[in-house]
Amino acid sequence: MSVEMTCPLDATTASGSGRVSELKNMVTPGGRVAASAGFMRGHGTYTIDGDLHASVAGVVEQVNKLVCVKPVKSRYIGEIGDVVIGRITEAQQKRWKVETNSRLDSVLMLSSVNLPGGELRRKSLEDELMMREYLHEGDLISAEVQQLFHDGSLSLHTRNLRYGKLSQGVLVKVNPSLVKRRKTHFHNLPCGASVILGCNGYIWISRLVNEQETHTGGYAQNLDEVVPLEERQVIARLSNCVSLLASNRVLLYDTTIISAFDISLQYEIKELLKVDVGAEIALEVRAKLATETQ
Amino acid sequence: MEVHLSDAERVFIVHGVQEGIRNDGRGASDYRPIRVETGVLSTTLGSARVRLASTDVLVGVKAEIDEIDCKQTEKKGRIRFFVDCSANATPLFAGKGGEEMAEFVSTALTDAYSNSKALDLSKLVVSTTKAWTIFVDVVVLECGGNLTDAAALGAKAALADARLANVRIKASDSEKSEIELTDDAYFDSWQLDVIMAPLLVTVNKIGWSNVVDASLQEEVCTKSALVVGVASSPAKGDLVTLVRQTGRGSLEPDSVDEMIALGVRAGNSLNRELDRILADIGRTQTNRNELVSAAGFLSS
Repeated sequence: MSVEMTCPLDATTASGSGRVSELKNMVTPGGRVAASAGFMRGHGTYTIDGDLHASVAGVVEQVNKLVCVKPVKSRYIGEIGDVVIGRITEAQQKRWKVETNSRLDSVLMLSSVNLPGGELRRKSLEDELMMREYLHEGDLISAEVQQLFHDGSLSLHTRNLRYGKLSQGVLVKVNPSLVKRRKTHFHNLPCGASVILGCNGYIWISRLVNEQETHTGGYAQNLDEVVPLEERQVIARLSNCVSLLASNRVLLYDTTIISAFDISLQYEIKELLKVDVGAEIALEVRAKLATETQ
Repeated sequence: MEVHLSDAERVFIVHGVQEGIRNDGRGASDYRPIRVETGVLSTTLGSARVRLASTDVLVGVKAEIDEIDCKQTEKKGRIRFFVDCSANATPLFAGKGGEEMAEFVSTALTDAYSNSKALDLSKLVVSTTKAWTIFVDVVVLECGGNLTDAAALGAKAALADARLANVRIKASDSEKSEIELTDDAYFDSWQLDVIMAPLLVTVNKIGWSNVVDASLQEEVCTKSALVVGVASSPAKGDLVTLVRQTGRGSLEPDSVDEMIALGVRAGNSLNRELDRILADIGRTQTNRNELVSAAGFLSS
């Protein structure tokens, strides 16, 4: 039985990492960014009376003559080729609607999925009627962004044996800006778990994925299997590490997650939920990164 | 946010709880870190803010002098609870969506406090016909699971923080008596004794195990839960003031006994921790000897 309570008297306010002072060109909505003459208007700006103003709160970025404002907090904006994790919200005619933490629900067309068993054929009427058998509301999938529609919504595909329905594991939601686009988003960590870093801020942590098992196309799920205790502990520790890295605004990629995991081994898993423990681990991860890059 | 879970996630959570390790590594009887602040609203007689992981509630206490119900044999005051689940917390609460939840929490609080051994309401009596009525308002700012427990923690902390002004009743010539309020409402006041004020503990049945302090995902996997109102003090021991079932499922009698036992243990720990925090805050306030500025709310 553990109950831990704090009040403002004994809380030590964690000081900011000092990076805020470096961002001198932060603007608030309506703030003037530049004169419109000679500059091209990028995202997050609008013109009034020949001046460029910011429409979102964020940092001004300038590339040659293009001025844009990158918002501090925004929904996920997809790019072609991004790996995302989404949850099926509804099954419509010939497509599924997938929730991916973006402004609009993404679309997964029936023609963009692999059939169970890996067979390649055109989808028939029976397949359309059987859609809910493959993926129904609430299921989690990993997919890749195939194209962007004009309204900004994403079209996803799972035409690779790596993608598909996700089985037993834990989903952690973080700010999408913390997940950088890298070469690979699927990691089998040495600690004994596998992590999928979705570019939309959804992080999926599950047991180690065996490479041979993915030949089924990712739709077979064994709900009867019980994940053993040691693997559960690794998964729980990783999910707490990802949460604490996210709340301390550390970029998420395999190196930071592995270092956070190693540093966190001195604490019990449930102690990682405490704010001060999280701040300390994040500080050590940052220090470790700084020494490694030198 | 409405919480959806895939079947596999659900199975993972249930198996984990049954093995004794939840998704965040906690055991069945562990609470997430709790943060309590009092004196956060200057317009109330007492206030508190409780943060239980991402659940955030704000509680304010106000009081009025009312007529005593003459049908009652013992003279005592009243205490009323109101809960507001605003749409700020989650879009689910928009319109009438939050009413059911709010109704449940406020009736649970009212019934838990209606025990005569809990809060001594006779101290609220001011004259033979008048007594204080205390209004406790709970506002849900964010819902991250286990709303009932957070609301009860906030209510007890706010009641402990409340200062009621000393009042004198002057008999006047007309039938109505006059109420004289003291000049210095802050220092010439008294505080309620909340040592036996109950806290609510929600015990959820997930699979065949019982857990306290369920997260949003765990609440989705819960078939049935028991809300136990527990008051405890070192002197008087534990007192169970409420046992209420919630959820769609049903419970075996053996399960009910186990869940109540777990709830009492958890309630005992919660009460001890909260009393310690409130004592620390009280000690700091008396040491300062001036008005404590309300700095808790609006600052992280």
